[in-house]
Amino acid sequence: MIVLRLALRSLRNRWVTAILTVLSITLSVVMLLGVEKIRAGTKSSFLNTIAGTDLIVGARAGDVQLLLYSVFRIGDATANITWKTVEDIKSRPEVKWVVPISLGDSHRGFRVMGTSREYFEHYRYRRNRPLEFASGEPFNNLYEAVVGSTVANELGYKVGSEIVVAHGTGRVSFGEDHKDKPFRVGGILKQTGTPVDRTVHLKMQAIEAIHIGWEKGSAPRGDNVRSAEQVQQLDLNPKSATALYVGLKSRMMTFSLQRWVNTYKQEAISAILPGVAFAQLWKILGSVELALLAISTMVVFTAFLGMIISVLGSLNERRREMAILRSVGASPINIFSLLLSEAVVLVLAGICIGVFANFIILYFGRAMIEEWTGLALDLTLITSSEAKLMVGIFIGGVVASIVPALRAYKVTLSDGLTIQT
Amino acid sequence: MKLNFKTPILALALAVQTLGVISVEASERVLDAHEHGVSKLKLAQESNTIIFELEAPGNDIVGFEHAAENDDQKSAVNEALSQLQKPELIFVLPADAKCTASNQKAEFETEEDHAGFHVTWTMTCERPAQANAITVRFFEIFERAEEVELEAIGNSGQVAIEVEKGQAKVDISQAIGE
Repeated sequence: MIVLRLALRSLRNRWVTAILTVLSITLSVVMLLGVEKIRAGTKSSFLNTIAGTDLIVGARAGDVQLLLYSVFRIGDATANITWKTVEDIKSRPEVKWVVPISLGDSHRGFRVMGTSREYFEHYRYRRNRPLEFASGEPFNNLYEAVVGSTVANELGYKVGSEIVVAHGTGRVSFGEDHKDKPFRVGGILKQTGTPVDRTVHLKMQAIEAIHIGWEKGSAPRGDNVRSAEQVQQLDLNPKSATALYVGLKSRMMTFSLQRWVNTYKQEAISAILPGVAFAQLWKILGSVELALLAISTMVVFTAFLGMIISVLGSLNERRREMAILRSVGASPINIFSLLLSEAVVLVLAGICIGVFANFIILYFGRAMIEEWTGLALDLTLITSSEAKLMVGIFIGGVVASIVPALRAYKVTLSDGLTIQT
Repeated sequence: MKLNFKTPILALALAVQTLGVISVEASERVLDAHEHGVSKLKLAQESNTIIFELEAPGNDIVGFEHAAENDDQKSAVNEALSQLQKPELIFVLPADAKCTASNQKAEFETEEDHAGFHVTWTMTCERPAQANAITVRFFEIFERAEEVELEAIGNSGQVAIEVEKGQAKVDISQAIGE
């Protein structure tokens, strides 16, 4: 106990160095915890990009590929699903709802997606959050679009703005677009932190409408030209879909319907469990997680190095103090434990302040982070995995401080009661 | 600058390079479900009921993938079936969950070019929240088996886990819960 009291007094005596050391440990703890929180938040928001959908059906392909184009709009489908097949799936007894999506066009770098009104009702993210409208509402008529929050922000759209859809998905349109059939922004969605933010949603029928006369692959000419009004009179029922989001009456039926889809003879289609495909995808991204952790571990390591340097540096000027302690009866072991307890106090203080500071930052910054990045971070003082990290830091800190403590032990042994120079 | 889920997107970009490989792997699995050494276990939970489905290639259980041709093979199949009649003793839920097994059904299915075991069963649990892990005794009983691909969907979400030989316990709390 006397050692601990001595340690505290000694630290108070060297308070500038002590505070700086604690500060550097605190900063490294804040950084490590921050990275850990962001990592956990990214993972959970990524894994929860889509929820409430039991199966996603698309052209037969790998699970991850199907997930990439149907949810992230990355890459393209190998084929579309014919509407006859869509009807077959809809009429299965297990199926509660089917939301078709149709991809292939773009608007100023953002993907355009055809879908039905039910999309806004059934799409869920972050466990069970539905899409919400910041303004406007789901499309009521053919030439209305619903845009994600990023689309609206970056392009400055408001309800009522007019937009023209480009043919194809390239960033630069080949001068061929659907300008003869402009759309009106009818609704703007609130930010979700998912690919929905970067999507322009149209009705399935609208996708059909803007492509009437485009069967040859280029803009219609001469007799094939139909005005926006004329098109409305035509049969606009969709002929195909890129993918389907499927909701089931009971979760128990998921695997049997998946098997039915995967062995569907008339067309090569497959069904994936979104959660399972996300887990597969996240496994590929595991190295990124590891890199983040490696960087913050290095920061912690640097903080310890700083601590060792400052204690070692002070040893020489403390030789007289050590000698005095020895003269009043302290053994070299006492000196060793004195230095060790000083370090333990510093490390502990650094960790506690760090954890607390991290919580404060999170408490005040959470809303702002969510607004900027769409990342919802959990407000917790410390999770079990973070606690493990902190224990690791503590052990690391104690081990690191053994170096200067041992040095002091040796020096006091050889110095004895008088300093030999 | 607005970040907007760019972190996952960035990570995705890194992953795209490897995707060619991945998709080939996944589509092969669709075509050839009877990969040697790999069995599939599927769990679906609704409130306090969990249904299980196990598909194991014949090779993993009895060492051949065709209809039993001689007495030795017939008795091997029968012995395997008698063990698979009690699948709840092979994939064991925690005792705390207080689950009872029912509807156990085990079959040896032979087709033209392969044969395998198909087992289904139902567990009804008093405390489904505790049914968050499986003790796997499959590899002890069937030594030829190398891997079980586990997919679980339930009250807490969906999860996919590859269980390798030697792994005794699997955490399924991401899917199965209250």
